[in-house]
Amino acid sequence: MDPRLREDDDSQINSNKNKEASVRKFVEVLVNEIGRVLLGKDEKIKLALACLLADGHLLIEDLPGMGKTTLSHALAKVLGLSYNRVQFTSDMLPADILGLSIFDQQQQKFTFHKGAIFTQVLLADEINRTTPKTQSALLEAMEERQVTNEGTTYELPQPFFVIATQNPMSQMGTYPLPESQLDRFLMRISLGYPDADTEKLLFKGGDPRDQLAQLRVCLTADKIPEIKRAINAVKVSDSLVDYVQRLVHFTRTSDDILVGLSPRGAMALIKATKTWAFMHERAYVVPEDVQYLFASVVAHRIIVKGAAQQLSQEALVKKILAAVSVVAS
Amino acid sequence: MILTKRPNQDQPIARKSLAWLLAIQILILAPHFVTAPIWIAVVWVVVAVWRWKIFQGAWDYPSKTKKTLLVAVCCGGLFLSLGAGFSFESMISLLLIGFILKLLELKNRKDFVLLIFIALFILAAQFIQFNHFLAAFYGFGCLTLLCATLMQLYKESAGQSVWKELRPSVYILLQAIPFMIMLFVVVPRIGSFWAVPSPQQSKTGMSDSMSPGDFTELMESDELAFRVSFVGATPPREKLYWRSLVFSFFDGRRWSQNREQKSGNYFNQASTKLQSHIEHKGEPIEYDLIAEASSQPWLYSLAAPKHWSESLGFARDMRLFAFEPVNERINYHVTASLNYQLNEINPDELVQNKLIPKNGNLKTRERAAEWLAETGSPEKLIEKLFAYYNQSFFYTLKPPALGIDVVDDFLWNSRQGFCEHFASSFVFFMRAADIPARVVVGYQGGDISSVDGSLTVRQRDAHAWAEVWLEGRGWVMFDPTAAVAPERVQKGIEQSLSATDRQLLAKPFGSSIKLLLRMREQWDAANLTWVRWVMNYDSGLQASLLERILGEVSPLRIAVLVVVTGSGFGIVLFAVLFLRNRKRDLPETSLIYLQLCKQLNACGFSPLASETPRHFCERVILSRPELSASLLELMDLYECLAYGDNLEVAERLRKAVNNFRPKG
Repeated sequence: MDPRLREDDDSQINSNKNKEASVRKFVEVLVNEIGRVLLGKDEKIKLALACLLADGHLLIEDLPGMGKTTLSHALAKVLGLSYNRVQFTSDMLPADILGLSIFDQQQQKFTFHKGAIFTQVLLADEINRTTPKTQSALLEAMEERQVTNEGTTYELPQPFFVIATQNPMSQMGTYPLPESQLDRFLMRISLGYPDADTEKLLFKGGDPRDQLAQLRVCLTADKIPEIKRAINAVKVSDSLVDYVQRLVHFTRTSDDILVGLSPRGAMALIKATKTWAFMHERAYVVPEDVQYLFASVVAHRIIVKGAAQQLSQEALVKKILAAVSVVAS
Repeated sequence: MILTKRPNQDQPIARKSLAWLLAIQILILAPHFVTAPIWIAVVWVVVAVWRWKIFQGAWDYPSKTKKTLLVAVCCGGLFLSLGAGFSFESMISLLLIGFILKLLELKNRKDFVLLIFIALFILAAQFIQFNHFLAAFYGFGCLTLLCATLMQLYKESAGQSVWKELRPSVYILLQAIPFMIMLFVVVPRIGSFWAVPSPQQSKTGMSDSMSPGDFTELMESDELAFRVSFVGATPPREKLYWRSLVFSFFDGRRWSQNREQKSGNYFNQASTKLQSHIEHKGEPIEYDLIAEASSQPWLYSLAAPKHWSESLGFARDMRLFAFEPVNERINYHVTASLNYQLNEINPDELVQNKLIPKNGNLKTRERAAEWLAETGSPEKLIEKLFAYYNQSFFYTLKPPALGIDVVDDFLWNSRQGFCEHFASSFVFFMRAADIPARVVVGYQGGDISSVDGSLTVRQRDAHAWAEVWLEGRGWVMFDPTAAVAPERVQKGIEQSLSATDRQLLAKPFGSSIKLLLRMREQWDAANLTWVRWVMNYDSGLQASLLERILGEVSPLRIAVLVVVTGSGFGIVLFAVLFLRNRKRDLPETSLIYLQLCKQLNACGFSPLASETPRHFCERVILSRPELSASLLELMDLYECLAYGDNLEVAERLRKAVNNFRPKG
């Protein structure tokens, strides 16, 4: 073998890596920074970050007190984004979030008062507590990234990122989000309890609110478009598309699944994996990315039937992944 | 992480495996209840419920005392219902009991596998009783299920459809069929050493004597008597008189063989001497006959046999017989001429065939003498008697009861009856006129298949007719029944009966429906082929078949046959698999990865379908750390090619995979 040829190839691989290295570093910095307040949840932080970088909204399904607010607040803080939190209740109206026009006595005309949604990171706490009317108003705004009031359209700030939470346990007096609306969220994650050591550290540490205040801004908002461009440049090869297609096809033909993955869902999966690959300094997506993100991106978009309804989300996703071969054979 | 997964034999049985096992047990046990006592089924239900409750955790495994008690009760039951003898049924039943009770000791996979093996044995045992080709299909189905049951025991994924579970075993068994056929053809047949005593002892069939009414039962039976396939054209059915027994002795009511016919002498001195006196005329006909087990030594043949299989004997009354009671189906080959003349006979035999009891049936004796005087010759007398039959007699299977003088009562009074009445009265009449005559019983006609011209003869084709010794013509056959009901002979018994009589013979799905009849013909033809080539495949048939294939039977040639057909089929299988793989047109990256997998497979690693290449390699590295460097490099290259679409590394990757030698 010609040694020079080999060197060329190596340099090619390396150059790919170098190109990503600089951008990639801040991912590490960001995760570390948020990790200071949300202990032991680096993987979840990464997922949330990936969701944001992929321009998607995040649904966190977890019990109260698991750090949902801390995570969203920290994310906004380190990214240097504005942050609003809305606690959803059943008597809430769309105007409470979107804003409303109020008659101004001095100017003798109606002026639009922007609601809580006019922010860059919105924490929609317990989204399933409010009526479908309010839910859909929010979800529409999430999709369109704009609010229309009395014929005037108001653009939402860029970037715009919703972190919604819901409590999976107490379903009394809730309005569960329908599947079509769950589809608007790029990922659904749950944080879960910290492990024993982390929890001890947590007990010893101070008030998270104080720690939040100490967080540094690690990334200016103007860098985000640059990152998005880099993510778009991540390569998705034919082999990988084949694999994703096989997975999607399986969810549509499996005996356990009533409604499989929609094309939008499949595209969301690709988008998320590209971001994930970018965050892991790769210029291309590998099947591991797909498998890692599959549960977060896909599980809330499919409807199971029959005996599979007894399975946990995790087991179901495992079953799907186990049934589909990674390499065409 | 477990690398090479060795099935853990101590693992408990999963719910699904248990369900499969119970289901397959039903299927495998079912055919045996033809002979086995039915209470064994109850034992099964109890044990199955018990085992299921154990699985649910509701009940416990039985204690030693309970187990012993159960075994004792079952053995007692067997003793009561089958007796203490060492019979086939009791042995099979004992095996079934063991198979069923073992369920209560089923704890882990090892026991499960053991049960599957016993099931295989029991499955094979069903062929002792059933040799229809349907039984073979049933057996194959059960075998497929057993195979699937065994496979799913080691499978982890649950909730697949039944077909998905069955598919691999169907494929495996289908692939095994050609090898099975080859071994069936080639492996030496073990002779009677292994023969199993026939489980069905009481067979319907001809008995060794005939009295009025005996045949009614036979004629209601649809049971198979024998099948014939003719070499060449099938003769018309009215000529097919299958002779089984000849009765020369009449006691006034019952016809039977006379003392001489029963003696061994009668058989032994017969063949060569008698053959020289028979003058065969016309075209000989050749046929293969497969006789069902009848527990009697007599067989069936057309008059007069010319050549026959060596294993048979030839009696002086020109019939073929076996030297032992026919307890298993046998087949033999006969050449016969329908047209023959016996030129010489022992005068003593003529005397024997003129004997009638001294008393009784006076009217017949008178009339016989009268009519003989009137007509002057035996031929004319027979004509006159036939005309009399034809005029005023009625063929029915339900004749009125006859008085003490059966012949008188029948001929001059009731005039209703069927073949045995006609044959009996005819022969008596002839003897009364001092003409030698005898009764022949056997079968007449049969169903000729329109598919292959083969003939199926059932018990209901049983028939009796007469033979009369005419000077210069030898024994001549006369069928008085044909004079009354010619359809009986031309078309078969069902056409010759009145509606009520037909009802007597009627079977469900009345066989008068044409389509059904045709289907039955096809069916019988298929089964005949099965019986001829599979069930009767003995060492003789094997030798002739091998001779036909190989020219000459020698170990070397047989070995060549095995190797050639075996490898031939192997090549076909390989080609099919190869083409199927080709057809799918895999991307190059897949091919490279598959090659890598093949190399790793040689050291005992195989990828799971859901495993990404990198995860697979990481798993390998865990147990083979020395491969770490080369495998990780391979993976970098592989991902660069497959997912980075960097085609320039393709050549390098291919070389690296080729040079990768994990085994060394």
